Amino acid sequence: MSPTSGTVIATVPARAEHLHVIRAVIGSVAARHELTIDAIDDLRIAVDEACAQLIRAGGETITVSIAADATGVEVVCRTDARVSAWPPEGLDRTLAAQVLRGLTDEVTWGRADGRPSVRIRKRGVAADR
Amino acid sequence: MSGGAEVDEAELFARLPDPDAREELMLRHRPLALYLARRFAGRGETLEDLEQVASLALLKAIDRFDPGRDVRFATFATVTIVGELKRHLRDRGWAVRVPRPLQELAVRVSGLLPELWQELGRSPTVTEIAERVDATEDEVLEALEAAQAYSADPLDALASEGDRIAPAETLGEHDERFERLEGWRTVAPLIARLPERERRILYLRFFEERTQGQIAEELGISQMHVSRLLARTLERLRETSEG
Repeated sequence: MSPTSGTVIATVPARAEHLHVIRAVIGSVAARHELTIDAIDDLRIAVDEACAQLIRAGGETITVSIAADATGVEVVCRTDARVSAWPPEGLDRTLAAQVLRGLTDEVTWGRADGRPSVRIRKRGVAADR
Repeated sequence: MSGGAEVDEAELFARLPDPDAREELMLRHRPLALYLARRFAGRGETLEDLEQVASLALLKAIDRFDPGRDVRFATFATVTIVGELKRHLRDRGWAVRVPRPLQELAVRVSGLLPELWQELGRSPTVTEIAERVDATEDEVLEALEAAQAYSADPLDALASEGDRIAPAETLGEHDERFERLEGWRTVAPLIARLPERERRILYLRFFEERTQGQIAEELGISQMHVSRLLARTLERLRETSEG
């Protein structure tokens, strides 16, 4: 899912106290794209986890792009940190990785524009019809 | 997960309903349950209650898990525990201290949820709720927020306490646990050199999930003292591991 005119993008300082803005935006966008309230909650927790990991990578800002189509919502979280080692070694064994796997339909640790990113997909109810 | 750890866990599941195997699985995955419980803090329930719900859900997950299926137990347990925590909070209603009109809408929405669940066979979307209560999607979102205010605590804790994330691994002797846990492994040799009291504080705080007050009581020192020791120890570990 590449960014379109319908993509919502929010950038906040890379500090935990600003992530409530991201949570609010996620809720607002997801609610309009046929995600159940449970799925919205899962997505918020997952994005929280992803952003917490990105904050640890350093950097000044966290940018979250939220795009939706008929099948669900895709969120790409990225930091502006320049780090060579990403995703962090041993990530697969952390609770954060387990939580992300458990609460999302798809999670990809990679890079966006060369910077560390986490891509998350959550299906909407239309995808199950 | 290393191959060795997986084999061990598969053996434990094969031994069920042996109580010792069940207990061992509980101990291994308890950090996951406690971690998820903290994720739901601040919604009008005490952390202790949430931890209890999460622990019971973990037990349920252990009993229901089918090792023959292509899914990791930690993934299955996460879904089960989060589901139980949500159900618990939904049943308990919502937090107070919200504007009255919003409270009223929150009550209506909360009352409607079980009905919609039954009708749809899944949790409803915000649009479906909005249509039913004749409110806008934004109003419903606000009402849901009022009913289930999301807690920022866990993440704040993460940011301020450094390597807070502890994976679901086995409980054991303190030093052995530090050695085996990803995230703590890199600093395990440093931890081994810490004075016994500092090591004990780290263990109680991050693995037993005790509060500083509880640790102070157990060690017979002031909470301020625990706070200082903990901050100093973490700083030392961070500096040494990064330097």
